Amino acid sequence: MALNGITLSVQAGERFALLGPNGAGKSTLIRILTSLSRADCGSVRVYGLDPARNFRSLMNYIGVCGQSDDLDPEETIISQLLFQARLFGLNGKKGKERAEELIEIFDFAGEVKKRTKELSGGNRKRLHCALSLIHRPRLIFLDEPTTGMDPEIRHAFWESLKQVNKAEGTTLFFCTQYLDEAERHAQRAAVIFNGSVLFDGKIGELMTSSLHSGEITNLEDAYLSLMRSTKQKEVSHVA
Amino acid sequence: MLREIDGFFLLFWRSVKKIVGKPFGIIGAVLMSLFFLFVYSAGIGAIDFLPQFKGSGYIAFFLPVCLVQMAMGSAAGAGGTLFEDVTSGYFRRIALSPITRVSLILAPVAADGFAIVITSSIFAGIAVLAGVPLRYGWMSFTGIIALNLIWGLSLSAISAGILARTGKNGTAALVTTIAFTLCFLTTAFLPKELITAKWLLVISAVNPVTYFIEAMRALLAGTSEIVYVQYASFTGAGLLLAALIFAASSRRRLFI
Repeated sequence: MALNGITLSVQAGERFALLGPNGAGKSTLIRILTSLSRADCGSVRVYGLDPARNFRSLMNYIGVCGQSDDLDPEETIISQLLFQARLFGLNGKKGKERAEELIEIFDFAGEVKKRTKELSGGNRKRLHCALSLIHRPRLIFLDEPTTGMDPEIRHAFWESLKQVNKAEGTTLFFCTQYLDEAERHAQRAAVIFNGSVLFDGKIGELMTSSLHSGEITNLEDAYLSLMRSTKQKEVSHVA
Repeated sequence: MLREIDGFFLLFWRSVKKIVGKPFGIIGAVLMSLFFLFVYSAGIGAIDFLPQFKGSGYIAFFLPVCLVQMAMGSAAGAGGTLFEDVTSGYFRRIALSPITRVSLILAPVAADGFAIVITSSIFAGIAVLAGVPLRYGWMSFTGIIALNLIWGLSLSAISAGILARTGKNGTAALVTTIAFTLCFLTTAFLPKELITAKWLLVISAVNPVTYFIEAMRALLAGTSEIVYVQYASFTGAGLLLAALIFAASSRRRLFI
Protein backbone atom coordinates (compact mmCIF):
# COMPACT_ATOMS: atom_id res chain seq x y z
CA MET A 1 0.00 0.00 0.00
CA ALA A 2 1.58 3.31 -1.11
CA LEU A 3 -0.77 5.52 0.92
CA ASN A 4 -2.66 4.84 4.12
CA GLY A 5 -5.39 7.05 5.56
CA ILE A 6 -3.99 10.38 4.49
CA THR A 7 -6.05 13.50 5.26
CA LEU A 8 -4.60 16.85 4.32
CA SER A 9 -6.37 20.15 4.14
CA VAL A 10 -4.78 23.07 2.38
CA GLN A 11 -6.07 26.62 2.69
CA ALA A 12 -6.91 28.68 -0.39
CA GLY A 13 -3.98 30.78 -1.51
CA GLU A 14 -1.54 28.87 0.69
CA ARG A 15 1.90 27.61 -0.29
CA PHE A 16 2.02 24.03 0.94
CA ALA A 17 4.99 21.65 0.78
CA LEU A 18 4.67 17.89 0.84
CA LEU A 19 7.89 16.33 2.12
CA GLY A 20 9.11 12.81 2.56
CA PRO A 21 11.82 10.38 1.47
CA ASN A 22 11.89 8.67 -1.91
CA GLY A 23 9.08 6.13 -2.13
CA ALA A 24 7.07 7.77 0.66
CA GLY A 25 4.08 8.15 -1.64
CA LYS A 26 4.30 11.86 -2.53
CA SER A 27 4.10 11.40 -6.29
CA THR A 28 1.45 8.68 -5.91
CA LEU A 29 -0.66 11.09 -3.87
CA ILE A 30 -0.30 13.82 -6.48
CA ARG A 31 -1.16 11.39 -9.28
CA ILE A 32 -4.31 10.32 -7.44
CA LEU A 33 -5.31 13.90 -6.64
CA THR A 34 -4.88 14.89 -10.28
CA SER A 35 -6.70 11.90 -11.85
CA LEU A 36 -3.56 10.32 -13.34
CA SER A 37 -3.91 7.29 -11.05
CA ARG A 38 -6.85 5.77 -9.22
CA ALA A 39 -6.88 4.95 -5.53
CA ASP A 40 -7.41 1.23 -4.87
CA CYS A 41 -9.87 2.07 -2.09
CA GLY A 42 -11.10 4.97 -0.02
CA SER A 43 -12.33 8.31 -1.23
CA VAL A 44 -10.52 11.29 -2.61
CA ARG A 45 -12.00 14.77 -3.00
CA VAL A 46 -10.44 17.88 -4.48
CA TYR A 47 -12.78 20.88 -4.37
CA GLY A 48 -15.48 18.37 -3.56
CA LEU A 49 -14.85 16.47 -6.79
CA ASP A 50 -13.72 12.88 -7.20
CA PRO A 51 -10.65 13.10 -9.51
CA ALA A 52 -11.35 9.66 -11.01
CA ARG A 53 -14.97 10.44 -11.92
CA ASN A 54 -15.05 14.19 -12.45
CA PHE A 55 -11.62 14.82 -13.89
CA ARG A 56 -12.86 17.13 -16.65
CA SER A 57 -14.56 19.47 -14.19
CA LEU A 58 -11.63 19.22 -11.82
CA MET A 59 -9.17 20.27 -14.53
CA ASN A 60 -10.81 23.69 -14.61
CA TYR A 61 -9.81 24.20 -10.96
CA ILE A 62 -6.34 22.70 -10.89
CA GLY A 63 -3.06 22.89 -12.76
CA VAL A 64 -0.54 20.06 -12.79
CA CYS A 65 3.19 20.42 -13.21
CA GLY A 66 4.68 16.93 -12.98
CA GLN A 67 8.28 15.79 -12.65
CA SER A 68 8.85 15.54 -16.39
CA ASP A 69 8.41 18.49 -18.74
CA ASP A 70 5.39 17.46 -20.78
CA LEU A 71 5.93 19.55 -23.89
CA ASP A 72 5.67 19.16 -27.63
CA PRO A 73 9.32 19.44 -28.73
CA GLU A 74 8.43 20.69 -32.21
CA GLU A 75 6.26 23.61 -31.12
CA THR A 76 7.33 27.11 -30.13
CA ILE A 77 6.72 28.65 -26.72
CA ILE A 78 3.97 30.92 -27.99
CA SER A 79 2.22 28.23 -30.04
CA GLN A 80 2.17 25.89 -27.02
CA LEU A 81 0.75 28.58 -24.76
CA LEU A 82 -1.96 29.45 -27.30
CA PHE A 83 -2.82 25.79 -27.89
CA GLN A 84 -2.98 25.16 -24.16
CA ALA A 85 -5.29 28.17 -23.82
CA ARG A 86 -7.62 26.72 -26.46
CA LEU A 87 -7.64 23.35 -24.66
CA PHE A 88 -9.19 25.23 -21.75
CA GLY A 89 -11.64 27.16 -23.91
CA LEU A 90 -9.65 30.41 -23.91
CA ASN A 91 -9.97 31.26 -27.56
CA GLY A 92 -8.82 34.30 -29.50
CA LYS A 93 -8.07 37.47 -27.56
CA LYS A 94 -8.55 35.90 -24.12
CA GLY A 95 -6.01 33.17 -24.85
CA LYS A 96 -3.55 35.62 -26.36
CA GLU A 97 -3.78 37.98 -23.40
CA ARG A 98 -3.24 35.18 -20.91
CA ALA A 99 -0.30 33.82 -22.92
CA GLU A 100 1.28 37.29 -22.91
CA GLU A 101 0.79 37.58 -19.15
CA LEU A 102 2.57 34.28 -18.56
CA ILE A 103 5.35 35.19 -20.98
CA GLU A 104 5.95 38.27 -18.87
CA ILE A 105 5.68 36.48 -15.51
CA PHE A 106 8.03 33.68 -16.58
CA ASP A 107 10.28 36.07 -18.52
CA PHE A 108 10.08 34.35 -21.89
CA ALA A 109 10.04 37.60 -23.89
CA GLY A 110 12.53 37.34 -26.74
CA GLU A 111 12.28 33.55 -26.75
CA VAL A 112 8.65 33.07 -27.71
CA LYS A 113 9.46 31.81 -31.18
CA LYS A 114 11.98 29.27 -29.90
CA ARG A 115 11.00 25.66 -30.25
CA THR A 116 10.74 23.68 -27.04
CA LYS A 117 13.56 21.37 -28.10
CA GLU A 118 15.88 24.39 -28.32
CA LEU A 119 15.28 25.36 -24.67
CA SER A 120 17.49 24.38 -21.74
CA GLY A 121 16.15 21.82 -19.27
CA GLY A 122 15.40 24.52 -16.70
CA ASN A 123 13.53 26.70 -19.16
CA ARG A 124 11.54 23.71 -20.37
CA LYS A 125 10.37 23.14 -16.80
CA ARG A 126 9.44 26.81 -16.46
CA LEU A 127 7.40 26.60 -19.67
CA HIS A 128 5.81 23.40 -18.37
CA CYS A 129 4.71 25.29 -15.28
CA ALA A 130 3.50 28.30 -17.28
CA LEU A 131 1.31 25.99 -19.39
CA SER A 132 -0.19 24.55 -16.20
CA LEU A 133 -1.25 28.05 -15.16
CA ILE A 134 -2.85 29.10 -18.44
CA HIS A 135 -6.43 28.76 -17.18
CA ARG A 136 -5.80 30.55 -13.87
CA PRO A 137 -6.27 27.42 -11.75
CA ARG A 138 -7.21 27.86 -8.11
CA LEU A 139 -4.62 25.27 -7.15
CA ILE A 140 -1.47 24.03 -8.83
CA PHE A 141 0.21 20.71 -8.00
CA LEU A 142 3.96 20.74 -8.52
CA ASP A 143 5.80 17.45 -8.25
CA GLU A 144 9.52 18.15 -7.65
CA PRO A 145 9.36 20.99 -10.16
CA THR A 146 12.89 22.31 -9.73
CA THR A 147 14.85 19.07 -10.02
CA GLY A 148 17.80 19.71 -12.32
CA MET A 149 17.43 23.50 -12.38
CA ASP A 150 20.47 25.67 -11.73
CA PRO A 151 20.20 28.06 -8.74
CA GLU A 152 19.53 31.12 -10.89
CA ILE A 153 16.69 29.55 -12.87
CA ARG A 154 15.36 27.97 -9.68
CA HIS A 155 15.22 31.38 -8.03
CA ALA A 156 13.48 32.92 -11.07
CA PHE A 157 11.05 30.01 -11.16
CA TRP A 158 9.97 30.50 -7.54
CA GLU A 159 9.71 34.24 -7.97
CA SER A 160 7.33 33.69 -10.92
CA LEU A 161 5.27 31.20 -8.94
CA LYS A 162 5.06 33.45 -5.90
CA GLN A 163 3.97 36.30 -8.15
CA VAL A 164 1.09 34.15 -9.44
CA ASN A 165 0.33 33.02 -5.88
CA LYS A 166 0.13 36.62 -4.70
CA ALA A 167 -1.58 38.22 -7.69
CA GLU A 168 -4.08 35.47 -8.54
CA GLY A 169 -4.42 33.75 -5.19
CA THR A 170 -3.36 30.42 -6.69
CA THR A 171 -2.68 27.79 -4.04
CA LEU A 172 0.71 26.09 -4.46
CA PHE A 173 0.89 22.43 -3.46
CA PHE A 174 4.38 21.17 -4.11
CA CYS A 175 6.57 18.28 -3.17
CA THR A 176 10.31 18.66 -3.18
CA GLN A 177 13.51 17.07 -1.96
CA TYR A 178 15.16 20.48 -1.56
CA LEU A 179 14.33 21.35 2.03
CA ASP A 180 15.81 24.84 1.78
CA GLU A 181 13.26 25.42 -0.97
CA ALA A 182 10.41 24.27 1.25
CA GLU A 183 11.69 26.38 4.15
CA ARG A 184 11.95 29.48 2.00
CA HIS A 185 8.78 29.20 -0.08
CA ALA A 186 6.20 27.14 1.86
CA GLN A 187 3.98 28.44 4.64
CA ARG A 188 2.89 25.00 5.78
CA ALA A 189 4.18 21.49 5.19
CA ALA A 190 3.29 17.88 5.68
CA VAL A 191 5.80 15.08 6.04
CA ILE A 192 4.76 11.64 4.88
CA PHE A 193 6.56 8.38 5.41
CA ASN A 194 5.48 4.89 4.38
CA GLY A 195 2.23 6.37 3.10
CA SER A 196 1.21 8.01 6.40
CA VAL A 197 1.36 11.60 7.62
CA LEU A 198 4.05 12.16 10.27
CA PHE A 199 3.61 15.88 10.56
CA ASP A 200 1.15 18.47 9.22
CA GLY A 201 1.52 22.09 10.24
CA LYS A 202 3.45 25.32 9.89
CA ILE A 203 7.08 25.13 8.90
CA GLY A 204 8.09 26.84 12.16
CA GLU A 205 6.16 24.23 14.17
CA LEU A 206 8.05 21.43 12.49
CA MET A 207 11.32 23.02 13.52
CA THR A 208 10.26 23.49 17.15
CA SER A 209 8.47 20.16 17.45
CA SER A 210 9.07 18.13 20.60
CA LEU A 211 9.81 15.16 18.38
CA HIS A 212 13.36 16.36 17.92
CA SER A 213 16.39 15.67 19.96
CA GLY A 214 19.46 17.85 19.55
CA GLU A 215 19.89 21.30 18.08
CA ILE A 216 17.63 22.27 15.17
CA THR A 217 18.70 25.27 13.12
CA ASN A 218 16.85 24.75 9.87
CA LEU A 219 14.18 22.65 8.20
CA GLU A 220 16.69 20.08 7.00
CA ASP A 221 17.83 19.41 10.60
CA ALA A 222 14.20 19.14 11.70
CA TYR A 223 13.31 16.79 8.87
CA LEU A 224 16.32 14.52 9.46
CA SER A 225 15.61 14.41 13.18
CA LEU A 226 11.98 13.50 12.53
CA MET A 227 12.99 10.73 10.14
CA ARG A 228 15.57 9.34 12.60
CA SER A 229 13.10 9.22 15.48
CA THR A 230 10.39 7.65 13.30
CA LYS A 231 12.72 4.92 12.06
CA GLN A 232 13.95 4.23 15.60
CA LYS A 233 10.35 3.85 16.76
CA GLU A 234 9.67 1.45 13.89
CA VAL A 235 12.73 -0.65 14.77
CA SER A 236 11.78 -0.81 18.46
CA HIS A 237 8.18 -1.63 17.52
CA VAL A 238 9.33 -4.56 15.36
CA ALA A 239 11.74 -5.73 18.07
CA MET B 1 -21.38 19.48 -25.99
CA LEU B 2 -20.00 22.37 -28.05
CA ARG B 3 -16.86 22.30 -25.91
CA GLU B 4 -16.43 18.57 -26.61
CA ILE B 5 -16.76 19.13 -30.35
CA ASP B 6 -14.41 22.12 -30.20
CA GLY B 7 -11.87 20.04 -28.27
CA PHE B 8 -12.13 17.18 -30.75
CA PHE B 9 -11.54 19.48 -33.72
CA LEU B 10 -8.68 21.20 -31.92
CA LEU B 11 -6.90 17.87 -31.55
CA PHE B 12 -7.97 16.77 -35.03
CA TRP B 13 -6.36 19.81 -36.68
CA ARG B 14 -3.27 19.41 -34.54
CA SER B 15 -2.92 15.83 -35.82
CA VAL B 16 -3.51 16.94 -39.42
CA LYS B 17 -0.82 19.57 -38.94
CA LYS B 18 1.53 16.88 -37.62
CA ILE B 19 0.85 14.68 -40.66
CA VAL B 20 1.41 17.59 -43.06
CA GLY B 21 4.54 18.61 -41.13
CA LYS B 22 6.02 15.12 -41.42
CA PRO B 23 4.60 13.74 -44.66
CA PHE B 24 7.38 11.23 -45.28
CA GLY B 25 5.41 8.26 -43.99
CA ILE B 26 2.49 8.98 -46.28
CA ILE B 27 4.67 9.88 -49.27
CA GLY B 28 6.55 6.62 -48.69
CA ALA B 29 3.27 4.68 -48.62
CA VAL B 30 2.10 6.32 -51.88
CA LEU B 31 5.43 5.72 -53.62
CA MET B 32 5.56 2.12 -52.41
CA SER B 33 2.05 1.48 -53.71
CA LEU B 34 2.90 3.08 -57.05
CA PHE B 35 6.03 0.94 -57.19
CA PHE B 36 4.00 -2.24 -56.53
CA LEU B 37 1.44 -1.23 -59.14
CA PHE B 38 3.95 -0.72 -61.90
CA VAL B 39 6.30 -3.59 -61.00
CA TYR B 40 3.54 -6.20 -60.75
CA SER B 41 1.81 -4.86 -63.85
CA ALA B 42 5.08 -5.01 -65.75
CA GLY B 43 6.00 -8.43 -64.33
CA ILE B 44 2.78 -10.40 -64.63
CA GLY B 45 0.43 -7.95 -66.32
CA ALA B 46 0.78 -9.79 -69.63
CA ILE B 47 -1.58 -12.51 -68.37
CA ASP B 48 -4.55 -10.14 -68.39
CA PHE B 49 -5.64 -11.56 -71.76
CA LEU B 50 -6.95 -14.62 -69.86
CA PRO B 51 -10.76 -14.77 -69.79
CA GLN B 52 -10.84 -14.76 -65.94
CA PHE B 53 -9.73 -11.09 -66.05
CA LYS B 54 -12.90 -10.31 -68.04
CA GLY B 55 -11.11 -7.94 -70.38
CA SER B 56 -9.86 -5.53 -67.72
CA GLY B 57 -6.23 -4.48 -67.78
CA TYR B 58 -3.94 -5.77 -65.02
CA ILE B 59 -3.50 -2.24 -63.63
CA ALA B 60 -7.27 -2.00 -63.00
CA PHE B 61 -7.17 -5.49 -61.46
CA PHE B 62 -4.22 -4.77 -59.16
CA LEU B 63 -5.10 -1.17 -58.27
CA PRO B 64 -7.34 -2.12 -55.27
CA VAL B 65 -4.45 -4.04 -53.66
CA CYS B 66 -2.26 -0.96 -53.95
CA LEU B 67 -5.01 1.27 -52.52
CA VAL B 68 -5.48 -1.04 -49.55
CA GLN B 69 -1.73 -1.07 -48.91
CA MET B 70 -1.52 2.68 -49.21
CA ALA B 71 -4.29 3.09 -46.65
CA MET B 72 -2.24 0.94 -44.29
CA GLY B 73 0.67 3.37 -44.62
CA SER B 74 -1.56 6.40 -44.14
CA ALA B 75 -3.21 4.74 -41.14
CA ALA B 76 0.08 4.75 -39.26
CA GLY B 77 -0.19 8.51 -38.61
CA ALA B 78 -2.38 8.30 -35.49
CA GLY B 79 -0.08 5.72 -33.93
CA GLY B 80 2.91 7.90 -34.80
CA THR B 81 1.37 11.07 -33.35
CA LEU B 82 0.27 9.27 -30.20
CA PHE B 83 3.67 7.63 -29.80
CA GLU B 84 5.48 10.95 -30.14
CA ASP B 85 3.11 12.53 -27.62
CA VAL B 86 3.45 9.64 -25.17
CA THR B 87 7.25 9.73 -25.50
CA SER B 88 7.52 13.50 -25.05
CA GLY B 89 4.98 13.47 -22.23
CA TYR B 90 2.72 15.85 -24.15
CA PHE B 91 -0.01 13.22 -24.15
CA ARG B 92 -0.19 13.59 -20.36
CA ARG B 93 -0.42 17.37 -20.70
CA ILE B 94 -3.40 17.11 -23.05
CA ALA B 95 -4.93 14.43 -20.83
CA LEU B 96 -4.76 16.91 -17.93
CA SER B 97 -7.17 19.28 -19.65
CA PRO B 98 -10.98 19.30 -19.83
CA ILE B 99 -10.85 17.59 -23.26
CA THR B 100 -12.57 14.20 -23.28
CA ARG B 101 -10.10 11.33 -23.24
CA VAL B 102 -11.97 9.68 -26.11
CA SER B 103 -11.04 12.71 -28.23
CA LEU B 104 -7.40 12.21 -27.28
CA ILE B 105 -7.45 8.88 -29.07
CA LEU B 106 -10.04 9.36 -31.78
CA ALA B 107 -8.97 12.79 -33.05
CA PRO B 108 -5.65 11.45 -34.45
CA VAL B 109 -7.60 8.54 -35.96
CA ALA B 110 -9.92 11.02 -37.70
CA ALA B 111 -6.85 12.87 -38.99
CA ASP B 112 -5.64 9.59 -40.48
CA GLY B 113 -9.03 9.30 -42.18
CA PHE B 114 -8.49 12.74 -43.68
CA ALA B 115 -5.06 11.66 -44.97
CA ILE B 116 -6.49 8.43 -46.37
CA VAL B 117 -9.20 10.27 -48.32
CA ILE B 118 -6.67 12.72 -49.79
CA THR B 119 -4.04 10.14 -50.76
CA SER B 120 -6.57 7.59 -52.04
CA SER B 121 -8.27 10.24 -54.16
CA ILE B 122 -4.98 11.36 -55.68
CA PHE B 123 -3.82 7.79 -56.28
CA ALA B 124 -7.13 6.62 -57.77
CA GLY B 125 -7.42 9.85 -59.76
CA ILE B 126 -4.02 9.26 -61.38
CA ALA B 127 -5.04 5.66 -62.17
CA VAL B 128 -8.28 6.83 -63.78
CA LEU B 129 -6.39 9.39 -65.86
CA ALA B 130 -4.07 6.55 -66.90
CA GLY B 131 -7.07 4.66 -68.27
CA VAL B 132 -8.47 2.58 -65.39
CA PRO B 133 -12.24 2.33 -65.98
CA LEU B 134 -14.93 3.41 -63.50
CA ARG B 135 -17.91 1.13 -64.11
CA TYR B 136 -20.40 3.37 -62.28
CA GLY B 137 -18.72 6.71 -62.90
CA TRP B 138 -18.28 9.04 -59.92
CA MET B 139 -20.20 6.59 -57.71
CA SER B 140 -17.47 4.04 -58.31
CA PHE B 141 -14.83 6.59 -57.44
CA THR B 142 -16.65 7.61 -54.23
CA GLY B 143 -17.24 3.96 -53.40
CA ILE B 144 -13.61 2.90 -53.59
CA ILE B 145 -12.49 5.91 -51.55
CA ALA B 146 -15.18 5.13 -48.93
CA LEU B 147 -14.15 1.46 -48.73
CA ASN B 148 -10.50 2.41 -48.40
CA LEU B 149 -11.42 4.92 -45.71
CA ILE B 150 -13.27 2.26 -43.71
CA TRP B 151 -10.34 -0.14 -43.99
CA GLY B 152 -7.72 2.48 -43.12
CA LEU B 153 -9.71 3.96 -40.23
CA SER B 154 -10.15 0.50 -38.75
CA LEU B 155 -6.40 -0.11 -38.77
CA SER B 156 -5.71 3.35 -37.43
CA ALA B 157 -8.17 2.90 -34.56
CA ILE B 158 -6.73 -0.49 -33.60
CA SER B 159 -3.16 0.90 -33.68
CA ALA B 160 -4.16 3.96 -31.65
CA GLY B 161 -6.00 1.80 -29.11
CA ILE B 162 -3.01 -0.48 -28.64
CA LEU B 163 -0.62 2.44 -28.37
CA ALA B 164 -2.80 4.27 -25.85
CA ARG B 165 -2.83 1.13 -23.69
CA THR B 166 0.81 0.14 -23.98
CA GLY B 167 2.70 3.30 -24.94
CA LYS B 168 4.89 1.11 -27.14
CA ASN B 169 5.24 1.84 -30.83
CA GLY B 170 6.32 -1.73 -31.62
CA THR B 171 2.97 -3.17 -30.55
CA ALA B 172 1.11 -0.76 -32.83
CA ALA B 173 3.49 -1.57 -35.72
CA LEU B 174 2.44 -5.20 -35.29
CA VAL B 175 -1.00 -4.22 -36.61
CA THR B 176 0.55 -2.98 -39.86
CA THR B 177 2.60 -6.19 -40.18
CA ILE B 178 -0.49 -8.37 -39.70
CA ALA B 179 -2.55 -6.26 -42.11
CA PHE B 180 0.25 -6.35 -44.69
CA THR B 181 0.30 -10.14 -44.47
CA LEU B 182 -3.49 -10.30 -44.78
CA CYS B 183 -3.30 -8.22 -47.97
CA PHE B 184 -1.40 -11.00 -49.70
CA LEU B 185 -3.57 -13.82 -48.34
CA THR B 186 -6.27 -12.74 -50.76
CA THR B 187 -6.94 -12.80 -54.45
CA ALA B 188 -4.36 -10.01 -54.72
CA PHE B 189 -2.49 -11.18 -57.81
CA LEU B 190 -4.92 -13.44 -59.62
CA PRO B 191 -8.68 -14.01 -59.84
CA LYS B 192 -9.75 -16.86 -57.56
CA GLU B 193 -10.44 -19.06 -60.61
CA LEU B 194 -6.70 -19.05 -61.39
CA ILE B 195 -5.45 -19.72 -57.85
CA THR B 196 -4.38 -23.34 -57.55
CA ALA B 197 -3.42 -23.54 -53.85
CA LYS B 198 -6.47 -24.77 -51.93
CA TRP B 199 -5.21 -23.29 -48.61
CA LEU B 200 -4.94 -19.83 -50.15
CA LEU B 201 -8.47 -20.07 -51.53
CA VAL B 202 -9.79 -21.04 -48.08
CA ILE B 203 -7.95 -18.23 -46.31
CA SER B 204 -8.87 -15.65 -48.93
CA ALA B 205 -12.54 -16.62 -48.65
CA VAL B 206 -12.62 -15.72 -44.94
CA ASN B 207 -10.12 -12.87 -45.09
CA PRO B 208 -12.01 -9.55 -44.83
CA VAL B 209 -9.37 -7.82 -46.96
CA THR B 210 -10.51 -9.98 -49.89
CA TYR B 211 -13.96 -8.38 -49.68
CA PHE B 212 -12.51 -4.88 -49.84
CA ILE B 213 -10.33 -5.76 -52.84
CA GLU B 214 -13.09 -7.60 -54.71
CA ALA B 215 -15.61 -4.83 -54.00
CA MET B 216 -13.23 -2.25 -55.44
CA ARG B 217 -12.71 -4.45 -58.50
CA ALA B 218 -16.47 -4.62 -58.95
CA LEU B 219 -16.64 -0.83 -58.84
CA LEU B 220 -13.65 -0.28 -61.14
CA ALA B 221 -13.62 -2.62 -64.13
CA GLY B 222 -16.41 -4.93 -62.96
CA THR B 223 -14.19 -8.01 -62.77
CA SER B 224 -15.94 -9.12 -59.54
CA GLU B 225 -19.60 -9.52 -58.69
CA ILE B 226 -21.26 -6.37 -57.34
CA VAL B 227 -22.43 -8.35 -54.29
CA TYR B 228 -18.87 -7.94 -52.93
CA VAL B 229 -19.69 -4.26 -52.34
CA GLN B 230 -22.36 -5.40 -49.88
CA TYR B 231 -20.04 -7.92 -48.25
CA ALA B 232 -17.30 -5.31 -47.91
CA SER B 233 -19.73 -2.69 -46.56
CA PHE B 234 -21.10 -4.99 -43.87
CA THR B 235 -17.72 -6.47 -42.96
CA GLY B 236 -16.14 -3.03 -43.02
CA ALA B 237 -18.86 -1.48 -40.84
CA GLY B 238 -18.42 -4.28 -38.29
CA LEU B 239 -14.64 -4.03 -38.36
CA LEU B 240 -14.69 -0.25 -38.02
CA LEU B 241 -17.23 -0.30 -35.21
CA ALA B 242 -15.23 -2.89 -33.28
CA ALA B 243 -12.00 -0.95 -33.86
CA LEU B 244 -13.53 2.34 -32.71
CA ILE B 245 -15.00 0.72 -29.59
CA PHE B 246 -11.60 -0.82 -28.84
CA ALA B 247 -9.86 2.53 -29.30
CA ALA B 248 -12.45 4.49 -27.32
CA SER B 249 -12.38 2.00 -24.44
CA SER B 250 -8.62 2.57 -24.17
CA ARG B 251 -9.38 5.90 -22.48
CA ARG B 252 -9.74 4.04 -19.19
CA ARG B 253 -6.32 2.45 -19.55
CA LEU B 254 -4.35 5.34 -20.92
CA PHE B 255 -0.60 4.99 -20.63
CA ILE B 256 -0.04 8.28 -18.78
